[in-house]
Amino acid sequence: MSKGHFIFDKNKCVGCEACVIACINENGFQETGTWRNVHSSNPEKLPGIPLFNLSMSCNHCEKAVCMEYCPALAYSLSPITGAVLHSPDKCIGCQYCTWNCPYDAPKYNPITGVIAKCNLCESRLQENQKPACATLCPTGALDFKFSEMDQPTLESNFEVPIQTQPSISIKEPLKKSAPKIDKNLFKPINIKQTKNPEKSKISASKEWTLVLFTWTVSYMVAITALDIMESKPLGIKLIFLIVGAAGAGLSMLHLGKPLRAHRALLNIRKSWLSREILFFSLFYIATFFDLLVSDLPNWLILLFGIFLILSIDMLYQPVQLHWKTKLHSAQAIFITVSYYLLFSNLFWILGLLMIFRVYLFVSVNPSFNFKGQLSASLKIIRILSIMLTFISIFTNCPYWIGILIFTIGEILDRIAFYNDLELPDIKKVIASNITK
Amino acid sequence: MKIYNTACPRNCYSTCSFKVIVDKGKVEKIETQPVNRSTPEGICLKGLSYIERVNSSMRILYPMQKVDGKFNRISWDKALEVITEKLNYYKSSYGSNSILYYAASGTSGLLNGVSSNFWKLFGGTTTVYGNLCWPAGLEATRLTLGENKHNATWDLENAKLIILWGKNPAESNIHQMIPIEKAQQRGAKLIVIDPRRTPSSERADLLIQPISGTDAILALAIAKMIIDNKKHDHEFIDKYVSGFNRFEKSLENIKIKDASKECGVPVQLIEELAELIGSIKPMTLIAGFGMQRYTNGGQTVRTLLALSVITGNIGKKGACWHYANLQSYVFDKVKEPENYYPSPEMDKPFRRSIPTARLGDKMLATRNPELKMAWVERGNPITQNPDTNLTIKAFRKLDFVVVVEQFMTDTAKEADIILPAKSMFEQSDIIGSYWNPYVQLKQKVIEPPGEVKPETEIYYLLANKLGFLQEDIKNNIPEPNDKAIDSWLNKYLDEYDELSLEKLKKEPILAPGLEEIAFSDMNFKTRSGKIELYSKSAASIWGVNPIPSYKPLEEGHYRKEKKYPLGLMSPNTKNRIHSQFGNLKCIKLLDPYPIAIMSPEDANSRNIKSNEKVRVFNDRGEITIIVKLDHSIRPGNVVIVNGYWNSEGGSPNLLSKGRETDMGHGTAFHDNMVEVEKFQTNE
Repeated sequence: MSKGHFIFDKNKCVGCEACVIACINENGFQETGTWRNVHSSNPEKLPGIPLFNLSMSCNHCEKAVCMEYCPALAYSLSPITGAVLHSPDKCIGCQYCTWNCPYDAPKYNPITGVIAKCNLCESRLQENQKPACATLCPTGALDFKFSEMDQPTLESNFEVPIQTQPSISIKEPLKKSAPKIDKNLFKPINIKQTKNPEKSKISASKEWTLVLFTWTVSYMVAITALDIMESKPLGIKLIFLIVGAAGAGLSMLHLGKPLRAHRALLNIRKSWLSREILFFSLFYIATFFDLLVSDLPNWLILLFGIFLILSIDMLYQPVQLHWKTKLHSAQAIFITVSYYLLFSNLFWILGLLMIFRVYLFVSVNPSFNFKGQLSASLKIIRILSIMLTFISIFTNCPYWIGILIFTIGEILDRIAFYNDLELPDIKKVIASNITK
Repeated sequence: MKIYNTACPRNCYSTCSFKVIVDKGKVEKIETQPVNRSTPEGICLKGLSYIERVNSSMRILYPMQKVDGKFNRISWDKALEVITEKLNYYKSSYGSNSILYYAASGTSGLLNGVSSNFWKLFGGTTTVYGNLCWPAGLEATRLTLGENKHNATWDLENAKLIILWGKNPAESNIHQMIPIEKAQQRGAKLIVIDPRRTPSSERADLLIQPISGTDAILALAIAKMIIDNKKHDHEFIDKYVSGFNRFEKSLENIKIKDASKECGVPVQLIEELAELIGSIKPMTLIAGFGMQRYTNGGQTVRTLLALSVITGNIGKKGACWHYANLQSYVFDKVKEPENYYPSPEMDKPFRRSIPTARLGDKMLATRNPELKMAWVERGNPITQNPDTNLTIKAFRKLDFVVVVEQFMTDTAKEADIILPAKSMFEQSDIIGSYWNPYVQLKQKVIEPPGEVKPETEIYYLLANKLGFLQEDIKNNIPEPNDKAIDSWLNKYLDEYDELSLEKLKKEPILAPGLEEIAFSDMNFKTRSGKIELYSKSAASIWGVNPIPSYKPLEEGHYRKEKKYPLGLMSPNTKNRIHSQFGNLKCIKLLDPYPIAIMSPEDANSRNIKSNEKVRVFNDRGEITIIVKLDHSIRPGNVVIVNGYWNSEGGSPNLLSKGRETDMGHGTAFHDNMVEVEKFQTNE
């Protein structure tokens, strides 16, 4: 059976959402997130601006990033229909696929702790029936063809992200403008002001365990690089290990299925998330062994640490799509290096790095998006912390105060990092195409 | 697994054909039935939600009796015994007219006639006249064209100009969007006239947003411009129209500038409309069912229809007046709207003293005898009739209420006894459609769940308990078995060679005698035999101007005053048919709670922000509700869609007034002005 594809005609979709109910009838109730959604390009109905609907579910991409980067190998390609299938019993509930998919197709269900998504009505396809949503569309806007898609159609008529090569062909509307109206009925509208900023699915307050984990790990790797732990008393060593374990443990609890955490190591070949977990385990075990059992070469532990830090930075790549640069002021690598420089008394290099990081913080990072006045004051505190660190260095302040002040700044920066992350959001992509 | 052909019997234009797949006595799936040319694709989301609806755990499956405010399950024997006793008591003590028989549009079908048969045999009851929805427009059309019919739905593809005037098919008749889109692909222009920017208007060329209830003055201004510019169809008018000269003369009083001010549409846009309507042929003018629910509704529809008439857009391919197509109601001896006010002689022994438009206050006012008991089926009057507070008061004043229902609606909650109602899959029936031209069979595909009994069976059992003559029962009520129902339906089908149960089981059948192009024979069943722009009957029956004319709304003056300056619109949504479907889990996913919609301008001036709780109120009642802003709605309006239950937060009828329309005994609940304020808790 050749791989089929969806056909969507923007002229015909009126946003009735029958496709959503058709999917529920076929695949069961979807209480925490319907597999198919109908997105509007102008949800606020701004006058004079056209409104198109787009019915979207999984597009069963040729380059399915959900599948490629799933650390637990919960995704597979149907050998019969070419559908990208998800096995709930293999899923660990890490939600990494929801970060990667540009169409918001995988839906995390907090009740079951795993992802659920469109299976292209695999059983219907095998009986030569189109998927339920495509058969039952009342206007014929959503359809399905049992043949492979022509590449040119894909190139020419897409306004949605196509780097994953989705199996959907979208027919553009005959009439692209909004209906003519009496403009005097409405006050002129500032589009930017009216836009209701949609809440991002990812934020520091939700992901506080990750803030803690990534900061701790960055700090631990910096300390390792300094090779100073050997000389410390056992108590300090234990605290060091416990904090690292706690960070990792909390991050694990945030999985939908913590008991399946071991599955996260299954995709070392392709997934940075698997690699992160692998290198964390190696780094942590090596450190543990080195500190409490028997000496290991420090370069080996450090190597694990560096790979760990790189893995952390790499796994956030898909959620940085909209950033001006691929760099954030609070990349894990920056935090690690900064601590290393601070502890090594390499202040002039630290100074240069911090200037660069402040530059990123102020001009490149998306807004430090805490709500209200908090945002501005936190921004100031972050920058103050750097200045105060240097003041403490060049005055006779106790050493630990400088480190504490520096750390406050680093954690705030990492909080900003998480608030700046944004999942690829099909809704926003569609809306931004219209308001351009 | 078995596949059946069936059709949706809801009060909806589309009346979709579809296939239902049944496995082990359970409705499992719904698939398309492409044979129906009007609904060739899938059915709407409500139709799809039948899978949940029929199998819902919220369904009422057993008779229930209210004791101390709580419903307890009782046996059918007990239920029928109590009801029989009450019926006998009220009839003997006060006369059978002390009982109100109320049925509405919850489900359609020939078997609904059995209910009237029963109550006639019982000796008659008090019952309602008129209708909640469309009679003003039906009557306006009947007075003008003689009949309510229009071209087959697919003929719309041939139109070069389509006007959706107060209709939003993308939500209320989604399958109409198919021929509209095809016509547009062929180069047709689409104009939408609606204070809201609806999904139907997104692909339109022009969206005109008049002040609601002023459509007539807009139409008259357009008519004047067309005639002044000599764009009217002389030949057509000379041959087929009566009263044109009087109509033309009446337009002399219309001042375009004043009209523009009254309807809130700039002169330039009225000119553009007149130019398009005057010059593009063929035109199909599609009037929705909202405008005629105003106090001036009938006359408004007559003025709109006049535009089709003076441009000769009647009886031709791609050209028609598209309001209601009753051609598939082949079994009705008296068609709507005339059967809404049957002659008392023919209607005996019913007492029709209560207009459904004023159910609450008339129930309370009824004397000799006053009402003691009500029987409600196929309806949810507490939510759907105007002035909910008054309706509730009227129902609570009764001694005894029986409600036949599938779900615990606002009306069911007022019952003393609830009888479980069948779903559409549990009894066969024949249905027509007021839009698509097919006669269809809604097949029985499963046995009723629990102890559900179809109404016909309930009446059969009651008739026997009440001791009706066996002869009468035999002639008026089918026996409670499938064979008896089939032969009951066959009695009707036998009139037509084209129709039989066997054929209808396979697929929908075009109505016998169907005219694909309505009025193509230019035969108009009016008094004069011509299209009547001037209608003596309009004046003699309804006391309105015999010429289509504009009369401001009864509550329209509030717009200029401070008290209630906002027009409450209560249109239909894609998510419900009136108060049906909204309670289902899958619909709730998409439409979780009632909302009011208003313009940012109106919200700002009241210091209201999107997603805040507001109070919508007038002298009749109030609703506390979450507000959402819509940047494209005409300021001066607030929208709460029709059909929310009071138990969900509030039906817009908490705010509406029981009034009749100017003709047809329709219900003018859209004539409804309100104010909105930020909700303040009294702490």
